[in-house]
Amino acid sequence: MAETDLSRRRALQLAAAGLGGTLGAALGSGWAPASLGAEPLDGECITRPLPDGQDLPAIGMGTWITFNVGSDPEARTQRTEVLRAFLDAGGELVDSSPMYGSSEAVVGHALAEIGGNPPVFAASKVWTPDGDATAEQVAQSERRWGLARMDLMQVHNLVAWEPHLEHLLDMREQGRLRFVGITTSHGRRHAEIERIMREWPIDFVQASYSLANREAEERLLPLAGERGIAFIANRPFQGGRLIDRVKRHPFPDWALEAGLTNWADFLLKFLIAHPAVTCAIPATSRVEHMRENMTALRGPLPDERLRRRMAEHLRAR
Amino acid sequence: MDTWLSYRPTDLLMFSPGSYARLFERLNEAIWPGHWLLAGLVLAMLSLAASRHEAAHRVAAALLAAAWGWVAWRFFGLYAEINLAAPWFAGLFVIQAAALLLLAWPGPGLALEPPAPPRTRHWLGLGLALWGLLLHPFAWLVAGRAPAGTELVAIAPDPTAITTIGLLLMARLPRRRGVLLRGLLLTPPAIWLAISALTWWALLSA
Repeated sequence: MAETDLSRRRALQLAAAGLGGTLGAALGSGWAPASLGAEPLDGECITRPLPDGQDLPAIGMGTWITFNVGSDPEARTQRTEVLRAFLDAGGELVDSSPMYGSSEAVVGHALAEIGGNPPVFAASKVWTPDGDATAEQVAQSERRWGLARMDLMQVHNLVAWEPHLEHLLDMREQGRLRFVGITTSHGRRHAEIERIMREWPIDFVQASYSLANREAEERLLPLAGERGIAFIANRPFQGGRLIDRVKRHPFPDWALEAGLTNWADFLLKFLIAHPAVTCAIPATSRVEHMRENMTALRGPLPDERLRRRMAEHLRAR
Repeated sequence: MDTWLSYRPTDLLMFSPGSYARLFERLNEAIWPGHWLLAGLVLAMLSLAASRHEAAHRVAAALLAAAWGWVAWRFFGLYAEINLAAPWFAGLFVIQAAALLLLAWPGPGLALEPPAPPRTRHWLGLGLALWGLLLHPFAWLVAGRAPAGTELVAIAPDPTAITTIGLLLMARLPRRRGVLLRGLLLTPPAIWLAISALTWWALLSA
C-alpha cells in the first residue's frame, strides 16, 4: 500500500473490523472508517497474500467510466463518497489508468478530500506507445493520485509492453515501485499474456474474469497460481451487464443458506473463491452498490461444489 | 490491428450517459445569462443571411464560423476532460470554422435568398435548420432533461451541425463550383453527426 507499513495497515484492518476508529487515529494516520458505529462490519476481511508476503483485501475497486467525471464538482463529491464507502468497508486496491480520462485525477481528489492518508493500494497503468515515456507516466500517476509512490504499475493492454516492462522492472529494483504487472481485458491476447507470465519476473497480471466469462480459468489462472503471480479479475460484472441480468431474477434460497447475501456477493465470491484470484475489481458510481459489492469481502467463501452450482444456476438464466 | 477490430464501440466508451449529460448542464450554467446574447447573435446571423446585401452575407458566414469556433473552444474544452478523443473532434470544428471564414471572405458569404420556385433541397434545408434551432432543444426537454441540460445551437455541437447543414442546403452559392463548395462545407458537420450518432448508440446500448 502506498507509503504505509504493514503494522499500520493491519491495525487499520482491525479498526475497520469493529475495534473502533480511535485505533486508526491513535496510530497517527488521522484516517478512520467514517461509518463505524453506524454500520458495524462483521467478521474478518477476506485477504490474499501478495508476492511480498503482505495481505491484500480480496475486493478492490475499478474506476473505468465510473470515476471519469472531469472537473464536475457535484460528481466529484459523490465519487468521494463512493471511495469513502469502499475504504470504510475495508477495501484497499483501487485500479485506474491514464486511459480512463479524468479517473486518476478524480481518485486523487477523493483521497485528498477523505484525508488522513487512507490505506489505499494504488494501482495504475502505463498506457503510451512511446516506450521511453514509462517513468514520465508513473510520475504523472503519482501526481494525479497525490501519492509519493504507486504500489502497482501495469502495462495497459500490452501497449509497447517490452520497453515499458523493462523500465518498470528497473524502477521496482530501485524501490520506486512496489509491484509490476500487465493487463488485458475482454479475453484478448491471452497467449501473449501467458508467454510474458512465463518469461518475465512480473508480480501481477490483470484480465477479465467473471461468472459469464471463465476463459481465464483455462490457462492464465493456473499459471498465475503456479508462478506466484497475483491475479486481478477485471470486469467481474461484465461492465454491469451481468449483474443487471441476474438482478432480474429472485435471489436463490440455497445461496442465502450458503451465506451469500445478494447478487453482487454471489458474483464476486465466486471469483475470489478461486485459489489463484488475488482481487476482483468491480466498478460503481453509487454508494449503495459499493456497499453491496463490499459484502463479498466478508463471510464464507463457496467451496468447489457450491461454485459449480452457482455456475449452473447462471447458465440456466 | 486485429485487436483493435475486436473492440465494439461500447468497449471504447469511456464515460457514462450521466457524465455526458452533465457537460451540457455545466456549460449552460457557466454561460448563463449569455444565452440571450447568443440568441441575439443567432437571430442577427439569420437576418443578415436573409438580407439582399452581399456585405451582410459575409457577416452572416463569419457569425456562423464564430459559432463553430465557440463550440470548439467551450464545449470540446469541457468534453476533453472525459473523452480523450475530444481534441480531435474540436479540430473538426476548427476546420469548419476556418472553411466558413473562407466562405465569408473571399467567398460570397451566406445568402439564404431562395430561388423561385424553391427546390426539395431548400425545403429539406429549412426543415433541418428549424430542427436544429427549435426542435432539437425542445426534444431534450421532452426526453426528460432539465432545462439547464438542453442542447442549443452555438453552444452544443449537434444542433450547431444540424442547423449549419440546413442553412448550407438553403444557401445560394456561385453557379461555378457551387456543388463542390457546398459538398466541402457539408462534410465536417456530417462527420460530426455520424460521430455523435455512434456515441449515442454506444451510450444507449452500454
